[in-house]
Amino acid sequence: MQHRESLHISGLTTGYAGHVVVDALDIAAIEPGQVVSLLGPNAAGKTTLLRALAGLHRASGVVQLGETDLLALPLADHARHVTYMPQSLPQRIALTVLEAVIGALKASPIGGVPLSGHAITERALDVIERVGIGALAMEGLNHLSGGQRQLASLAQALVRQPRVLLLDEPISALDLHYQLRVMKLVRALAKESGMIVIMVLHDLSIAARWSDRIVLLAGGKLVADGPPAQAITAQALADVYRVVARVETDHNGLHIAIDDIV
Amino acid sequence: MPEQMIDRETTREQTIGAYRRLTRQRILILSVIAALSLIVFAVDISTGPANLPLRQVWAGLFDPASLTMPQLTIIREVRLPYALMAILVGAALSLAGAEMQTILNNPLASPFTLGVSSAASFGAALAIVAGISLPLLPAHWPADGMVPINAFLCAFASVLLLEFLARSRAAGVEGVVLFGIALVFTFNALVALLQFVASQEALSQLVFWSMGSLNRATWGSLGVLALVLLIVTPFSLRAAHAMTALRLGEDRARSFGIDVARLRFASLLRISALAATSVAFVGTIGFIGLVGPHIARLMLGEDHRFLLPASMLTGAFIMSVASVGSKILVPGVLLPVGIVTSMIGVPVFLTLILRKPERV
Repeated sequence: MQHRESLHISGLTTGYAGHVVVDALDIAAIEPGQVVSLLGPNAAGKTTLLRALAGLHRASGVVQLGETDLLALPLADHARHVTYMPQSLPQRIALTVLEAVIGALKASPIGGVPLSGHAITERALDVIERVGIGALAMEGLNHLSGGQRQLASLAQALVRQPRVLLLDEPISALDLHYQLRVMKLVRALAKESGMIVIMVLHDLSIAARWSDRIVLLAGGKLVADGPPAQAITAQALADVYRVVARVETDHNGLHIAIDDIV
Repeated sequence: MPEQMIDRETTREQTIGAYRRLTRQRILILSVIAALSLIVFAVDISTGPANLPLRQVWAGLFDPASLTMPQLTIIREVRLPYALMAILVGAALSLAGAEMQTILNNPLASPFTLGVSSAASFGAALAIVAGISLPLLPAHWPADGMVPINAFLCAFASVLLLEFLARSRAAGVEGVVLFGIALVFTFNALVALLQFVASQEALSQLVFWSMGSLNRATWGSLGVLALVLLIVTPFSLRAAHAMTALRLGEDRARSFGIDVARLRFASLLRISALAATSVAFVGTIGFIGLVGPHIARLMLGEDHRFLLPASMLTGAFIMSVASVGSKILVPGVLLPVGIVTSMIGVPVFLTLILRKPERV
C-alpha cells in the first residue's frame, strides 16, 4: 500500500502549562516517503515538537496530513495515521515479542475491517520478520539485547502501518551495528510504502547519511531546513551547538568533524 | 533462494505452532488453578470445629432431610458462606491488585500496601464509632448499609489521591509507593484514634476490621460481593488489551490510540469497588492483592487476557487455603483469616522478589 499524502506543518505552537517551547513553527511540506531528522541542542524543542505531532501534547496551528487535520482528531483516530515510538521499551515486561506486537495491533482499531485472530498473528509475524527478528518472535522481551528490543519496539510501531512514523532518539542506546540496522530499515520502509518518518537524532553524521531532510531547531525556532548538505553547515553548527566544525562534501556524502567548542 | 523460502516458511510455522502451544498451555494452567481452588473449597467446607466431613456437607446440600437441624444450620450459615466468601474476597482483592499494578506501573501496588484497605477501614470506623456518613444518604438508611458505603468512599478517595500522584511526573514510581505507605500509617493512626474514643461495643466491632475475618459472612454480603464481581469483571476483561499495551509504556499506549487517562480512571473505579466491598465485609486482608497477581504473572506472563483471570483464580485459591489454615493451625480456635494470609503472604512474597527475574 502506497501512501501519497504529504504532511503540512505551519504556525505550530506547543509546550507545557504556561511555557511555550515551540512557537509558531512553519516547516515546508514533508512529502510521502521522506525521512526527516530533527536536530538541535538540548532544550531546542525537538522532542516536544515530536510529541505534539504524536498527539501527546496539546498544540495549536496546522498539522495536516493530505486533507486530514490531525490536530482536530481524537486520540483513537489520530492513532490510525500516526504512530510514535518512544526512546525505549520499559524493562521487566513479561511478554513475548509476538504478544507485544499483537498487543499494538489490538490496542485500537486501525483499518475499517476488524482482523481475525489468525490474520492478526500473520500480520504481526510479517512485520517481525521484516525487521529481521523472526527467529525471536516467541522470545520474551526481557531476554533480548538492547538492539533486538529496539527492533521489537519498531515492529510494534510498524505493525499499525502508520502514514507518519515518529521516532524519539531511536538509536541513542544502540551499538554501531544496530544503529545502522535501524536506520537502513526505517529508510527502506519509508521508500517502499511512502510512509513519512520524522525522528529526533543526536548523531549528526548518521542523520546526514540517512535522512532526506534535516530540520535544525534552536530555542523552539527553525534555524535550517533542507537536504543535509544545505542544512548542516559549519556556520549553522557554530550558531546552534556552539562548536567549531568542519563540514566537507564529496561523492560519499557529508563528512562532519567537530574540532572544538566556541 | 527456494531453500531460503522453505526455511522462512518453516520458521513461521514453528512460531505459530509455538504460539498456539503457549496459548493452550495457559488455558491448561488456568484450568488447573481453577480445579485446585475447587478442591481447597471442598476441603474448606468440610473443615471446622463441628465434626462434619465432606460427605455430610454434601448430603446437607442435596439431601437436607438426612441431617439434624443444628448440622444444617452449621452448613448453611457457617461453612458455606465462609468458604464462598474466601473465594470471592480472594478473587476480588487479587483482581484489584493486578489492575493496580498495571495502571500505576508498580509491582508493589495492591489495595493493602498502598493504603486503600486502610482508607476503607477508616471509612468504616467513622461509620461505626461516630456514625458519620455522607450527607446524601437518606436519614433512615440503616447503619449496616452505611459502613460499606463509607468504606467505598474513603477507598475511592485514597485511590484518586494515588492516581493523581502517579500521573504527576514529579513523584515517580518510588514516590507513589512512599505516599501509599504514608496513607497506610495515616489511616491506621486515625483508626487507632477512633478506637481510643470508641464505646466498648463499637470497639469490638472495630477490632474485627483491623484483623480481617470471614466470620461476618452472610448470604446478603456474599450476594453484594458476587454482584460487584459480576459487574466489574467483564469491564476488566474488556480493558485487557489496553492494559497489556499500557505495560509497554504510557506514551506508546497513547500513540496506539488508548485514552490512558480514561483507562486509569475506569480501572480505579473498579479497584475501589472491589477493594472497598471486600474490606467492608471481611475487614482488612493483607497480601492477597499483592501475591496473587505476582504468582499469576510468573505462571502466565503479562498478556492481560490471561493475567486478569489467573490473578482472580490464584487469589481465590490462596484465600481458600488461608481459610482452611485459619481453622486448623490452632486446633479448636478460629484465627482471623487476615493473620493467616499475612503469614502465608510474607514468605511467598519474599521468595518472589528475591528469585531471578521472570521466565517469560
